[in-house]
Amino acid sequence: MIETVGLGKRFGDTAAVVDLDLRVEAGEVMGFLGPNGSGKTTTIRLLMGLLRPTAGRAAILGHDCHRDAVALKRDVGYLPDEPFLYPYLTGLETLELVGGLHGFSAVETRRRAGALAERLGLGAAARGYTVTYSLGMKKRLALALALIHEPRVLILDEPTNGLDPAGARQMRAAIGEYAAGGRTIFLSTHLLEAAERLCHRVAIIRAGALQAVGTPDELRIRFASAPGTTLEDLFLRVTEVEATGNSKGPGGS
Amino acid sequence: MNASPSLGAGALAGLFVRSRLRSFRNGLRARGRRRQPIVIAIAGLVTSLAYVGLFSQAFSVVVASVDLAGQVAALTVVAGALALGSFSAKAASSEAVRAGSAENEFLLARPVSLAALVAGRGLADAITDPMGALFLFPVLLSAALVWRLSPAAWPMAVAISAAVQVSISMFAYATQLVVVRAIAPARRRLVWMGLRLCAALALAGVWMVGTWVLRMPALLAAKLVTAGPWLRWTPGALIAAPLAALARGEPSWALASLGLLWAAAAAALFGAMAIARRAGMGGWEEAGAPWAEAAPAPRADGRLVTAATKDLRLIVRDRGQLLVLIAMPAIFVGVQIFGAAGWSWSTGNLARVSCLAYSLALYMATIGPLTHMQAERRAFWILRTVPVPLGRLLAAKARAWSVVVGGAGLLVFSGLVLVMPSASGAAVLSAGVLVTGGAVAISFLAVGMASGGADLSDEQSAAVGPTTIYAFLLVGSLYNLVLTGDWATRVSGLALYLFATVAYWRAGVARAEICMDAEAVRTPQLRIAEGATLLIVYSFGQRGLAAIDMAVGTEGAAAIAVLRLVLVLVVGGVAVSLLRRRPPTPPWRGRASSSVIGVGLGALVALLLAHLRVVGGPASPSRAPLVWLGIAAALAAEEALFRGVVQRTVEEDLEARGLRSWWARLGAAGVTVVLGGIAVVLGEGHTTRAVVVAVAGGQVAAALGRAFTGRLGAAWIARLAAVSGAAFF
Repeated sequence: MIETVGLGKRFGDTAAVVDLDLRVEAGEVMGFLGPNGSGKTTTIRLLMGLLRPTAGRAAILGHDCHRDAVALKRDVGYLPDEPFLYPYLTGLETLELVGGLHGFSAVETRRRAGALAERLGLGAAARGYTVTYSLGMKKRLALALALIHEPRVLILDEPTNGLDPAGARQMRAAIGEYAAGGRTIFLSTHLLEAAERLCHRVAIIRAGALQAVGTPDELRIRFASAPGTTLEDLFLRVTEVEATGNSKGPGGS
Repeated sequence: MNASPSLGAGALAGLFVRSRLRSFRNGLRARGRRRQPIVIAIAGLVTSLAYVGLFSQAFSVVVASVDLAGQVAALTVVAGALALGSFSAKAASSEAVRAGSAENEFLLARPVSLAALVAGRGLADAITDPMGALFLFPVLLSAALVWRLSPAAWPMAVAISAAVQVSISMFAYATQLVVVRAIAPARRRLVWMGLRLCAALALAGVWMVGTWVLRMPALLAAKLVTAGPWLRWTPGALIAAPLAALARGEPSWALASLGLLWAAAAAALFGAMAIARRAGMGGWEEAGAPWAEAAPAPRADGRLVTAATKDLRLIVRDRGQLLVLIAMPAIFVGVQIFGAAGWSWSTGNLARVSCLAYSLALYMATIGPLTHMQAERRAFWILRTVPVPLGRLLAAKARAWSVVVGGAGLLVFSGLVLVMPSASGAAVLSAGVLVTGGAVAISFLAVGMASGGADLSDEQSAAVGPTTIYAFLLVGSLYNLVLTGDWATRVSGLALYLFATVAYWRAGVARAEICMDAEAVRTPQLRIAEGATLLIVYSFGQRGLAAIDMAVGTEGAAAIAVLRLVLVLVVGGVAVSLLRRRPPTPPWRGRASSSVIGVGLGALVALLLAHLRVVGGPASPSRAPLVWLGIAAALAAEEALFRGVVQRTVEEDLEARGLRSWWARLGAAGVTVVLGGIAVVLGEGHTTRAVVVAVAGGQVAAALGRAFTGRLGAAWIARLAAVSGAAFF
């Protein structure tokens, strides 16, 4: 479904992503975890064809993310970390624009836009300019934009980042609902509790390199942790082990 | 614990000055793309020196033409225009005291009062931004030099400039404060728009005053003598007074005038501080924030937003942008007409009217579609995540803009045709079609070039830089030849224009795919578009020299020949630097066999030209060795452009489009031969068929030399053999 092979991206002398091998199966929710600046957003942008890989390749649903970027987007929805929008289009107009770009008829575009605006709680604000939106509203609209074509794969970059608790809960509920429908989700997040609850497997990245991948239980076993160990403990252990240069820990990848 | 006292205006100004100077010093030391400060510093210095030179020359004419009262009147007008332009620009564009700006949020989060911030920033501006008063200082310095005042006048010019700058900053800040405090948020955008329009008109006024002073100083001064009594009551008189007093030999009056100027500056400073104190922080936190000053949401009009209509809606709703789009081209063209050419000359015949209408469309395209990537800057991810090729999205955008730009071109042309001397209906119709077609095409060129230069990977830098804007104006101005030239020039100009437009369009679409990738956008590229620009530069340069050649006659022929050589060497040098961006493709023949092929092709062409009796006439060069050295160098430079950049990039492009290798090579050879012919026709202006055939012959030999061998050297040898053979056979 989603596959990266030796994927790499350099910015000058800085290696943002290094030799990333990752596979996400159909219907799976994969959490993508890592400290700030670890390469999560770069990886996601590579998957979306927004960046050109300097090594390796990435594919979604068999489409090469760089060479076949247009076809890929028929089945992939994307929510960026900072969803900037056209300031003087309303939320509904933005949804209509994207619906039209996905090739839906005017009637179908309006139906989908209206339904999504209601489902994601945009309410009356959907008729206001996006420049007046709060961050939470912008994220909700961006999620609606990602869902308007009912994609088979959803790529979410820090979907709850910057949201208040209520907003974050709403966002998690929307993602959970979508995951329950059997769609594949690739989710980058800092909220480890949410990741544990939503994700089938998690991948932990640090300094652009994959450190560990598996279900939370598998990682607990691999890192010889007690059954009650939280994902946060595991995350800190994996990233700290690497940060201190001691990579000889049990299961160190 | 006691709270720390808030910072005073003087201390804050000191902090501003230190941090700005440190930032400037760091900028001077920076390398690579961050070296902008040093470029700005050098440009500022050079421009100031140029202003001193230009104004000194013009002011000398004024001094020689009218008495001291007239001279003072001229200085008053210039100084007043500069002060007004500077004030209106600052009041309209500076967000220095608007709370919505990030810097203000940062500063006002500290123990700093708004009044101290306003005063501190204005005082610091006077020290760290010597050009803040729009080159007032160079103008004052020029006046001091022309009047042969003592060196004491120089520090006086500095003091005048600083006082004016403080006053301007304070008036501008006070204006902004009043707008924010007195105007409701929903109406504020209208006021900002009005201020921007005033600024544009004031700057246009400055431009025109500058043009008049430089072009007809004596006439202007003579007219100003009668306006002297009125000018005495303008702010310009206050600025000119100290130096004027020195010129009259009244140093004590000069000091008194300077004191008065500084008293006015102090009054402005305290006035602005008082306004700021009253403004306080109530409601201030929203001032300038787009979300707070947005117009009410629109009524649903039932029409679906598409990729094409999206941009139009954004423009119409962002009224500041709309105003700029309409007003600025009109002001630019107005300045051209009233500042330089004159209305009767500009509308004297159909060709000039066409040029005027097209110029307006070109400026509109510069402000509109050329800056479209700036509008996309933060929302481009939306277009990059839909399953539509970017080329189609950009084409939709260009189509939408072509309606606006093409419509404006047609509208202006239709209006101007009514006031110009009569012309035949067919001529007007064909000119109208040409103007509208050019305006439509310029929209596509603008979208293509802006996409080709766009860098959306760095939030801090502009999406479209000045290089792109100048390149756009250069390529766009080529169409003027299509509107005004003879038929050969029109056809050649149109062909080169279309070639450049297609090249830039393709480069733009390719670049837009990677414009969010910092590494990819900074990787040096070698594209057909660069070759097209160089061809246009080369053709324009040759055309200019040909015109000078005709004007000076045989006496200046040698100088013109040297200038032609310099031009081709410069263009060739740039082509070589472009070629160094990408490693050469491996040649498909060895050096020796390539040389033989080159000589053979050149000799063949030379024989053919001799047989056709094309050579032996005006195309035959002199046999002096120095001339031959020049010819060899010129041909090498030309080959770097035609074969090195153009033929190679076209060849690669054709191969990338799936053409077989040999067909791609021959196709690219054909394209460069045609372009070579076009360059001759455009470059020479009036040329004979023999010259075109002779040059085209050399181009054919060189193009085939490159196509058969893959070597630039073989192309040069072929060209050299063709030229030398043609001369000696």
